[in-house]
Amino acid sequence: MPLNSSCRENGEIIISSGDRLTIENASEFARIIHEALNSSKNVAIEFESALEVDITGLQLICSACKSAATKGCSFSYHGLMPPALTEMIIASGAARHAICRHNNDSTCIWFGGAH
Amino acid sequence: MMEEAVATYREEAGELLAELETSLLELEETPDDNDLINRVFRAMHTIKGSGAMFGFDEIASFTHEVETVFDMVRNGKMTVTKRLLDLTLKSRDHISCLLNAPVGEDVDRSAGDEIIAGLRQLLPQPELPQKGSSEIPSIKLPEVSPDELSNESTWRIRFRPAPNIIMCGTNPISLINELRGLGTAQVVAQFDEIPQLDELVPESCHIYWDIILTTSRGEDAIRDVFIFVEDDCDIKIELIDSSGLIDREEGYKKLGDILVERGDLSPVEMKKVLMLQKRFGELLVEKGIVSPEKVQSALVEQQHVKSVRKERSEAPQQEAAASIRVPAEKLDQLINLVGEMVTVQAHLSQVSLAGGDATFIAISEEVERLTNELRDTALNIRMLPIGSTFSKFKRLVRDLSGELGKEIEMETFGAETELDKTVIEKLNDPLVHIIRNSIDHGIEMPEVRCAAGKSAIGKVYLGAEHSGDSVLITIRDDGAGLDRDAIRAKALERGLLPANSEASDREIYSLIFAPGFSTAAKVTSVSGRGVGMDVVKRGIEGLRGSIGVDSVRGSGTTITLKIPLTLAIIDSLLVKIGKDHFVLPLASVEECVELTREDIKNSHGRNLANVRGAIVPYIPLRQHFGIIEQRPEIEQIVIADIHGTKVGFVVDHVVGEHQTVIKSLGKMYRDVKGVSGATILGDGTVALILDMGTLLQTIELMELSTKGS
Repeated sequence: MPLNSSCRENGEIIISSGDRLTIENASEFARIIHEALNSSKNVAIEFESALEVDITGLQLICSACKSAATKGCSFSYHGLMPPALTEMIIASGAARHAICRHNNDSTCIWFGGAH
Repeated sequence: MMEEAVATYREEAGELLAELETSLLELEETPDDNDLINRVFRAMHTIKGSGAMFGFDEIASFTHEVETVFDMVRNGKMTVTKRLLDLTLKSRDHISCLLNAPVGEDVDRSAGDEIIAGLRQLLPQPELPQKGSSEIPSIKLPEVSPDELSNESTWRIRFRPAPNIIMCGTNPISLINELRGLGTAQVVAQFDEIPQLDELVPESCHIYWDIILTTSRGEDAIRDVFIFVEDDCDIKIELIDSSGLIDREEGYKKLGDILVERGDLSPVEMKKVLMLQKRFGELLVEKGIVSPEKVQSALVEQQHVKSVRKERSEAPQQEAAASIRVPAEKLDQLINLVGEMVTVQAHLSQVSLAGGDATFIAISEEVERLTNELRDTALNIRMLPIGSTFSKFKRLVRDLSGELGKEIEMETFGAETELDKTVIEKLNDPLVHIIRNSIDHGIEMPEVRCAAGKSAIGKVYLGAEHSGDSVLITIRDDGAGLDRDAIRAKALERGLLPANSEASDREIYSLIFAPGFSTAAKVTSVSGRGVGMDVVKRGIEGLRGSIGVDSVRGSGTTITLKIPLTLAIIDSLLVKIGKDHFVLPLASVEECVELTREDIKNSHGRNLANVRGAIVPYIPLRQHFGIIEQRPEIEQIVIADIHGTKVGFVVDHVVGEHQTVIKSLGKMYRDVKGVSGATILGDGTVALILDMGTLLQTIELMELSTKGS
């Protein structure tokens, strides 16, 4: 499924990741998340298991998470985190158990070990 | 000073190239071995990094290309293939050429260009030029030896990439992985500069990294990782811990001190927080002074250095100075001095015994004991495991078998067997010739082997083992074996054997070492000219060694080289004929028996002695050397074992055992047969060292020619 977003009955916006979260589509991904956060309090990503990801993908997630926290929105993911994303988090040294002050001092659900 | 550093680089790079070759050959057998892949990568990385440092720019740039390919292999983006190994082995040879090229001399660069072009073809083609990758290597920390542990330092690195680094095609994760390859690293990505979505430039890099790296490789190796991005990136490297620091302790700095050092916290803020008597990190975060990420990063550093220091303090202290690097010339000088000392000590013993003073004799004996210990220790220092040369023969087998269209594997054993460094060096050429011969003439083509019911893959075994004061080096193949009849026919044709000769198999096989002897129907690029085996014979004789050949037609050939452990000082038997002294290597001497005038009379001029019922032929050395002094009533026969045959050498007197410091004869005496060197005795006189094998051979030939005429 290509990168796109859809709105559920409960108002939650689901973004389908497509097969990559890399520099080639980072701008488009950012635009879709930005729009979603502007129109819903609950935004979640559904990842494809064979997702390809690079460092721009990680910073996009972090940026989106910070934006969501500022707006008082929820920004999360459904299902399992794809293996490539987990590996990228470990390889880049992004894995942390510290709280995130940009996310109401909560443990980061993305890089904080929730996965 | 720089010249010394360059010489050290050459020496170390040479060792790394040998290690590289060994690893590549092993990798061919186990292409999935990550340790080997890492070893190859590390060897090339070091050659490159140090090369750039010492002005070997061409080596650095060439090795970088090869290293890039192996980085892909290391990261799981490429697999090890035969083509890759071929090219990498060629790269190793090219680097060796560049390394050893005399200053100012041009090296054939086209060879390097061809290799690089070949390697680039192997690289996986990216779908998009700036494609990011989702394939993250599994991170394996290199194993650290106790030696490395003692030289380790810990570095704090803050790597703030240029915003456009990813767009320029550099993946910061690759650089971080390269740092991981240098030692033990803890990496913390800092996200505090990532803006919100409305300000985010998705293609830019907003992340920076704190890395705590413990490595034995030094700052230059770290800087080398960033060599291509350092102009655009902000890179801060600080030494935070080293095994060389005198005041080190097992613990480490407090969290606040680390943050202040990093510039993440001001000293004033630290004091304020400390006044509150709570956990420091929590307070900093609570008060919003420092971000949780920065606190976590500092805690990572604290924990990392603590564990490194703990590990270091637990490592045995003596490992720190386990080995040192000493130039070979200094060792040679040491051996020469020990040799001189042995000679002087012999003089001292002689004088003390002549004087009869008990105290003087006791001192002399003590000096003798110490000199012997010193001699053994000094000789032992020069001993190297022969296995260090085995890998080059594996390479030889690999390359030659490919060239000849044969499938051949080499197996080695006894790599840990130690031999004198000089002996190992001089063994190289003979071994090359023997192995080339085995591959070219011994091992059959695969189809011939299959037809003979053998495995298509031929085997060449190379091994070493100790045997008394010698080392036996065995080269065995499972090829066609020697053609006894063809050798005999050729020997008869060339007059090397009398027409009615009843020579044994061993004698016939030994003819393959005669100069120019070849039964090969055609000369190939590898062998067939009849030169190689002559080189082997000369080389081994030059080492005071011997060669044995055994062969079974259809099953293979075994060549055994018996080599003395050292060339510098030997145990020998000192004998006297008339006024002259001679030295016989003790290793071959079995016993001494008396020879009376009556014995000589009873043998009727046949030079045969009856030793406990066994007939032993002897050589009257007095006659051979033309010594005219009066013959004593009772002479001595020194019986030696020469290639499995007992032969006696008749002398006037046996003086006794002697530590012989070998001195080579001058150029004028190079061709004198039967004398392998000379030694200086305690009283300053010179004694010739007899090469009993050659002496016997010379006398046999003389007798044959006398009979012939």
